[in-house]
Amino acid sequence: MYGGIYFLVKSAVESRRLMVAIGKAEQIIKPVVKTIESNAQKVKSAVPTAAGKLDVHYQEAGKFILDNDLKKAQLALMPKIVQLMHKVKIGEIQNIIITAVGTGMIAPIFIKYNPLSKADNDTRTYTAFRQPVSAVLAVVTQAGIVDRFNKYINNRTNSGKYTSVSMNKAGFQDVKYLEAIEKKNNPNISKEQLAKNVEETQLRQLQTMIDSTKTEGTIQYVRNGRTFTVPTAEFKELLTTTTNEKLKHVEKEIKRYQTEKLPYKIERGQFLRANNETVNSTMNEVLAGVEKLSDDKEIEKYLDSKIKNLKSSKADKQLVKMVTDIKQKSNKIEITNKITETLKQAADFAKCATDNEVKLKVEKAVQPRINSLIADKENIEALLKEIDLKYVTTGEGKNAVVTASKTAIKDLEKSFKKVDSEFLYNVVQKQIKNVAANIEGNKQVTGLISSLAILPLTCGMLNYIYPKIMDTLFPDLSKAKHSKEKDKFVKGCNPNPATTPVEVKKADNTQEASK
Amino acid sequence: MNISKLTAPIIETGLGKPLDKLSQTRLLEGISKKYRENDLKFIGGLGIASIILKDGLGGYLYVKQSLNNKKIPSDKRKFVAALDMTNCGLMIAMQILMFKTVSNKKVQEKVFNKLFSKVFDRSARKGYQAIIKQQDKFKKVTGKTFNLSFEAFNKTCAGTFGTLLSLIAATIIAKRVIVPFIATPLADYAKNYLSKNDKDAGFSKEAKNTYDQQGEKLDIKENDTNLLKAAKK
Repeated sequence: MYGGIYFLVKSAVESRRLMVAIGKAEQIIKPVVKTIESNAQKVKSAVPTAAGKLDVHYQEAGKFILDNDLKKAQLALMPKIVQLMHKVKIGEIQNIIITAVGTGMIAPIFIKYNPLSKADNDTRTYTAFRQPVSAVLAVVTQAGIVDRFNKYINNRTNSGKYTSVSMNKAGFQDVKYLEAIEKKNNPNISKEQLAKNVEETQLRQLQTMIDSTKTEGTIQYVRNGRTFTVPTAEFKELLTTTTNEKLKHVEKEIKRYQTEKLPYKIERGQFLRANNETVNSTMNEVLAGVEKLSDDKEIEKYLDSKIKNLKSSKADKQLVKMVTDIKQKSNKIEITNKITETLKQAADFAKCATDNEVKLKVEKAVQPRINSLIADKENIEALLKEIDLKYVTTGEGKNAVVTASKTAIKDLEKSFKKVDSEFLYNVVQKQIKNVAANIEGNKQVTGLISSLAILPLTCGMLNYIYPKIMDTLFPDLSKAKHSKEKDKFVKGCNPNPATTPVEVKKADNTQEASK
Repeated sequence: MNISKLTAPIIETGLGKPLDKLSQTRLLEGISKKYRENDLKFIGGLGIASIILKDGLGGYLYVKQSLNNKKIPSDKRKFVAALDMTNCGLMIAMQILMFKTVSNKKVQEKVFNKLFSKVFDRSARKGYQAIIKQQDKFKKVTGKTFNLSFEAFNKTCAGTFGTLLSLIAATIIAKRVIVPFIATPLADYAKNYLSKNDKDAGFSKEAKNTYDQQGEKLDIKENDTNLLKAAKK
């Protein structure tokens, strides 16, 4: 009791201290927040709609809107089953309920009506009823405690209450969190307006984070009166990780060109030179066949049959591949263009006298692309060095300190643009992903701890409630001793199984009579 | 009086601050780093360890409490505890199996790609690109941008499919159908194991021994059930 009183008093004292500290901080931050909010208000009316042109202020974060719009457009073209999958939202509560339905209604059937079990029917029935009781308790504890615990963590991270900046989603808040705020401010808001408002809020938040890198040299934003600044060391890691990912991608492309695409094109060219007549006749045949048809599906059928014929006549794999590549095109115009292109290539390579000449020709054609990729690689490596120069690391390991000027990003902007026009957008997205990953890792551990903590409670409740329910609702089941168990009890009293057993009842009656 | 305003500082002190402190510990910073790097081996291992701990401890508590719960009829108590034991063991094994198969992201992606290959293959993608480019707002979208967006969309669809697959195959079929079906007959063996050290109830010293074990054999003829008569002789 004294412990409880101390706890309450301590909480009250802590809250008072917190209120005073917030008051002092507000006096410093209020003017800064006012400026940011007034800027946001000025451009709010110019915030782009999905159909309209993007305001210049949101140019860099504009990829966010484009990505969202592209996703919606792609979903609209998908088959109904894919669209349905997207509509079905399986949240935590739905998961808990579906699991409980399975536990309470499906599992008991496989216990009670199990043909492989030797246990008597009453025992199986009694045991089977444990499942629905367990399911109800699971819903109560999971939905009541675990789910609320997870919601508490989500609210905490979205409102920016964690000390570490990288544990807070306050810079780019979740859709659900923003929807809850919008609904609270405007209970009658329509679904479409809600989605639009949330998208605009996220766009503003993204742009704020991008802009802050140019003025502060790192990601910075203000939420609920607190300024969140990503430590310089962490921001440098973001920059180098994003750059290294780009470098990996370019190196992969260079390797693909050198080891796959170039040999493939050389082989194709040599085939076209050596089998010029066959290629010309096949391509012209296909072109004639395609031009007769108008419907895309009929063209696809025709090309399928053509491929089948080539395979059955054991035509060269290259020829089959050529017709397969033509079939990949989406409509008649693209198909006829591809056939024309193939014929032109065949004519080009026919002029080569030897295979070596083909090789040199192909290398000459592909080399500019490889050179462009190598130039990209050099730009990226140069950027990495520049990042190291602007974000200076002193010391090693835990004692390492990274310092940079506030204009570091502005100075690096030209180098960023050489590597990727959306470099800063990608850096900010990386930070958002890192925060999500940090929360995920924390949730895994805190979820485990909370589950283990609730376990004795759930277990105790089940063992208290279950026999009581069975005694009340199914007294015959809980009190009846099955005849098989009775026989065992009786046989257990007879140490000499050879002796004819006497029924207990008759023996009792005989003893009573003798009295 | 607003209850939430009163309880907020208590919850913050009792729950919020410990969570905050926990997030700053070395252990959690290390785990967060693995999640940021998307170290699938580590994430998978942590998931399996969580399953074993949760279900293992749960199984132990349920079995122990069932065995000592006098309110459960004595003839059914051992079977209830035995089923809890077999259920726990099978549940852990099944969840680990599901984790490595149906609930594994790579496996889910493979199944998804096999089922929906025609929806997301190269020719379909080219088709979608051609249709989408006809819209004004997407006219300037490059092939690279479209492909990146399409790959991200493909991954989202695969993720949704994976969640549904996990729910149906792992949660419902594996854990609620297969596990109880196998656990019930196994519970018979587990019950025998739990009962192996059971001693006979024995007899009170005052109880009359109507079955003579060591002394004179009673002259009991077949079908003669009057033992008193036999004893008096």
